[in-house]
Formats: sequence, C-alpha cells, structure tokens
Amino acid sequence: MKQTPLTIQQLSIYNLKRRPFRTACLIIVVAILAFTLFGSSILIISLKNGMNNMEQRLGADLMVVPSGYKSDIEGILLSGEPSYFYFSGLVAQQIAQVEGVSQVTSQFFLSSLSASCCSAQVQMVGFDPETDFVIQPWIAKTYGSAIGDGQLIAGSDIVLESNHTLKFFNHSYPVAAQLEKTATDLDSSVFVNMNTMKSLLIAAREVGMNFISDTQPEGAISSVLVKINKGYDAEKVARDIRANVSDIDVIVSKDMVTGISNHLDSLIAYIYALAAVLWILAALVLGAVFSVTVHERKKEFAVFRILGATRKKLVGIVLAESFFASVAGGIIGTTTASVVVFPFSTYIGDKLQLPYLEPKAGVILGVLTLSLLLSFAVGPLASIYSATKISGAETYLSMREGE
Amino acid sequence: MLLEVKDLVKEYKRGDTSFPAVNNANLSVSHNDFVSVIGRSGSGKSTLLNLIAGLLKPTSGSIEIEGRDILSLNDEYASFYRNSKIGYVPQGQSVLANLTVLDNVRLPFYFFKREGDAVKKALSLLEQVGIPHLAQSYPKQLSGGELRRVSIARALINDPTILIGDEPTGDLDAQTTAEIMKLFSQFPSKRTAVLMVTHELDTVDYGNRIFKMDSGILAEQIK
Repeated sequence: MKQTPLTIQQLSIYNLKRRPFRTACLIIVVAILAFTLFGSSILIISLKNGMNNMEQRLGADLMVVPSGYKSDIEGILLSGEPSYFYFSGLVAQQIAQVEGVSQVTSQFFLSSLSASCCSAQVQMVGFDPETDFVIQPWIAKTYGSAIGDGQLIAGSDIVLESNHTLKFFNHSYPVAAQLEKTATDLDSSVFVNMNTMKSLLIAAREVGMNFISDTQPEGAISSVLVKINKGYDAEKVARDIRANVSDIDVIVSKDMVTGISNHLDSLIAYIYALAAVLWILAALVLGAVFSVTVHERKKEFAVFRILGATRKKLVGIVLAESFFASVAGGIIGTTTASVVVFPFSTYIGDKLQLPYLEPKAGVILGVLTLSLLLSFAVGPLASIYSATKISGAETYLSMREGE
Repeated sequence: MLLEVKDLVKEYKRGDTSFPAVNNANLSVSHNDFVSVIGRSGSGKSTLLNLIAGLLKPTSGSIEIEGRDILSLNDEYASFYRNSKIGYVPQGQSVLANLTVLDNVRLPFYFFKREGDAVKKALSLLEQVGIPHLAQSYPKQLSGGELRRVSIARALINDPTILIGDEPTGDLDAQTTAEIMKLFSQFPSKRTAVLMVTHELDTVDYGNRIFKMDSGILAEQIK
C-alpha cells in the first residue's frame, strides 16, 4: 500500500482539508488582503506614472488659450477629449514680447469625425517644427526624426488601418510612427506639422467641415505654449501676459499639476491607509481564528506530545497550516486583482479622471512578489502567538482540559 | 531494571495551600512486568503515569528508564525518548479525527528519522489488535472498543519498552474490556512491560504486580 510520509506539511494539509469551512474563511481573509495590497499598489504606481508622464508631457511653463477654453484644454490634456478652438496667431507674437518669456510656440487643434470619412474621432495637434519645444522632444524618443509633410504620428490608443495609414476627411495619411503609451492626451492624439494641418483643413472643408469661421482671422492658432526665463515667477509672467493680451486664458502648468497632484496624494494616502488597516485587520482576524482554533484543538496537540512530538513540531504544524492557507489566499487574491486591474485599466483611468499609466512588467513582478510575501507572512505572524502558547502548555493539563 | 522511580513528588497548589498529588512514590518495573496501579479517582494515579511518561514535571525525585534519567533531558531528547521507548494509551478518546486509522497508527513513526516501512508495520499492528479491515476508516466511524485498539496499535508502532495505559478500559463494556486486557497481557512476554492505572478491580487479574495509590502515596500490594 503506497502512502505518503506524515510530515508536518502533510499533517497540516490534512488538517486544512478536514476543516473546509475554517480553511475557506482563512483563505478568503488573506485573499482580500492580497487583492487590496496588489490591486492598490498597481493603482498607486499607475497613477504616479501617469502623473510623471503628464508633468513631462506639459513641457511648457504656461499655456495660453482663447478666453473661456481653459477647461477644454485641461480636458484634452487629462482625458484626451477632442476639442478645437482658435484665436489669432498674432497672440503668439504679443506673448513673446512680455518680460520673462523665453520661448513661445503655437499649436493648432482639430478634431476628426466619428463618421465614414475618418478612421476614428481623434484629437489632431498641429505644431510648428521651427519653434516647437514640447512635442518634438517627446516624439523623438520613439520616432527619432522630424515628421515630414503629409505624415502622421499616432498616439498608442489609436487603431491604425491595415496598411499603416489613417483616413481623415476621405484622405489617407501614412503613419510614420506610433508612440508608446503615456496615459496623457498623446495616446489618443495624432500629431502633424503645420503644413499637413493645412491640407487636413482643406480636406475637412471638402467634406463640409469648416473649423475656422470666416470671422476668425487667417493664421489662427489654438494655443500658445510658453517657456519662461530662469529666475522669473510663472505666476507673475502669467499676470503680465493677461495684462498685455486680451481675450485669453493663461494656465500655469505647475498649478494644474499641483492641483491634480494634491488630488492624487489624498487618493494615494487613502489607499495606503486602507491597505495598512486591512493588513492589521487580517492579522487580527487570523490571530483570533488561530487562537480559538488552537484552544479547541488542545487535546489534539496534547496527543501529539504524548506520541513524542517536540514542542518545535507543534509550532511547525500550526505555522505550516497558517502558511498554506496564506499561500492559497495570496495567490487567489493577487490573481483576482490582476483579472480586475489589468484588463480594465483604461476604464479605471477614465473613472478616476486622472492620468493612469500601468507600470512595466518588471515593476509589476516586483509588486506582485512583495504583495505575495506580505500575504504569505500574515498567517504565520498571526498564528505564532497561539503556536508558541500551545507548544508551551502542560500536556497532561491540556489533555484534561480538552476532555 | 527497565523503570526506576525514586522519591517522586508532585505538588499542586490550590489557593495558597499546596498538596502532593504524588507523595514520595517509589516504583521499579522490569521488562516482563505487568503492573497495575489501582486507586480511587483523584488518588494521583494519572499524575504518576504522566510524570513517568515525561508529560509532567515533578516537584522532586527521579525517573530512570533503562538507566537514563529522563528528567535531565531537554525537550528534543525527552520527546525522542517518549516516542521510542514509551507507548502511551491515554485515558478516553485520543485518536486524531483528521487522520484515517492507518495514519493514526503510523503517525508516531515519522516524528523522528527511522528506517523501515511504517505502513507495513501499522497494518501488521492493526492485524494484531484485530481491526485490519478498518485501516482506511476515520475515527468517527469506529466504536469505543475499536478506537481503543487503534490507540494500542499506535502506542506499539515504535516497539516501545514500556506500554503505559491510563485507564485504558475506563469507558468500555465488560466484553470489550476483557478483550483489551487480554491484548495488554500478551506484551510482557514480548519484553514490553505494561504499566496501567485502573479503578476496575477486575482488570488487575491480568497483571503480575499490583500497586495501590491513596492520597498520592504508592504502595505495592501482595497479589
């Protein structure tokens, strides 16, 4: 008859199997903990990544848009909501004259349509390669050179046509490169130089879309991005721009980032607190469960001692049981968190209204390892008191108490 | 001499006053002895057995098994001694509910490193105690007498030199008691001494020596 040796591990597994309800409860407690640890850590890192990316992406100290369009530009930057608005190109020249301004560059926004004429409804950003200091350094990381006339650079979320083109206003444009995910407006935007933007405007007009009304001047732009000289206060320069240029809104990038950052910090603090409270709660619940269980099993442990088990072996049996339950809970919890967090990352980012960028595989693996270690440790740590207590008990008295 | 107990004292405290549960007990047991210790409930019989098995620490005195002072051993050695030299059949039901009968019997075999086939040995012991057909059953499916046979088989798995029984027939009917006692009486001839406490006078006939315990004082009776 083939039988496995009755090692500590084997005995612990038998004990767990023969008490399915208690075992399931232990596993569920650890699974909830592991789910929270892993899920919330990935969430926090993704939000921080998104925030860092956005900070880098802004690239300018100030953004100037037509009066009343402040929320539109924030919407474009944070949620990639396509929009367009225009003011005179002369604004850029006026801003350049303000004291403290080091560099200015204009951008032109266009939105494609959710119709048969276009591959998708996306935000189109035209930039001036001569003056740009925001888009090109970013694109250069992926593409490595300037965009030619008639070419597009597509964000990571944009689905390309099979022939690596995108159709806008019934014209196909080759996509020179597709950017890596950034969790900002870049992901759902298409970038072109100003010459290509002009041909896009003509194509739009051909399908009946007049983005620029007759009342809007020639050479219209959507925004002016401003870099200020070192030593100048962004708030003061913004005030000066407002004083010198009419009908505009000035957004101080730092203020916007700080606003989001404050919102993010309070969210992260809340998540950390929740994870810490859950860890302590799980340890307390497991500690209580093991204390009750070990008390109930006094006679069983006394029998082990009678048969010659050392005190160390008794501790080993209790710890092994709690460890196995923790391992099962840890694996179930992290797997469930993965199933929830990764496939729904876009949805989570949208719901939070914050830039959300998942970490790289190495970071995910590190977080997974740490979450599993903390989950695996919680059971043995919670049961160590009960294990030590039972191993130190007088066998004869335990046997009598257990009767 | 297999077992030598000298001037053994175990005191318990009740409130501020202490009283001896075992009072200067002396006992010698050889390999082919079947020793019965009788006495009323609370006379200190079980305490004496537990002291001898190393499950309780005495207040004073000495206990030697095969010339070795078991009180001086650390937990590792004391446990090894209990595991390999002493077969203990506790009072009441002591079979582990989570394990099958076979696993219960072979369990003590694995507490320390040993050569041999534990399964084969356990099955042979179940045969000896008359319940080979119950090897794969769980304790809840067994009667009181069958459970006691499992305890005896388990106590014998490591070929102990002394089998200690704490009222092994306490909760059994007359017929099962007789069967169990018959089983116990076979061991001294195989050089496994039996030390058993009981309050059933019928069972003392199976032994060759009788001790009486009264208020912690142990005294040999002439059979």
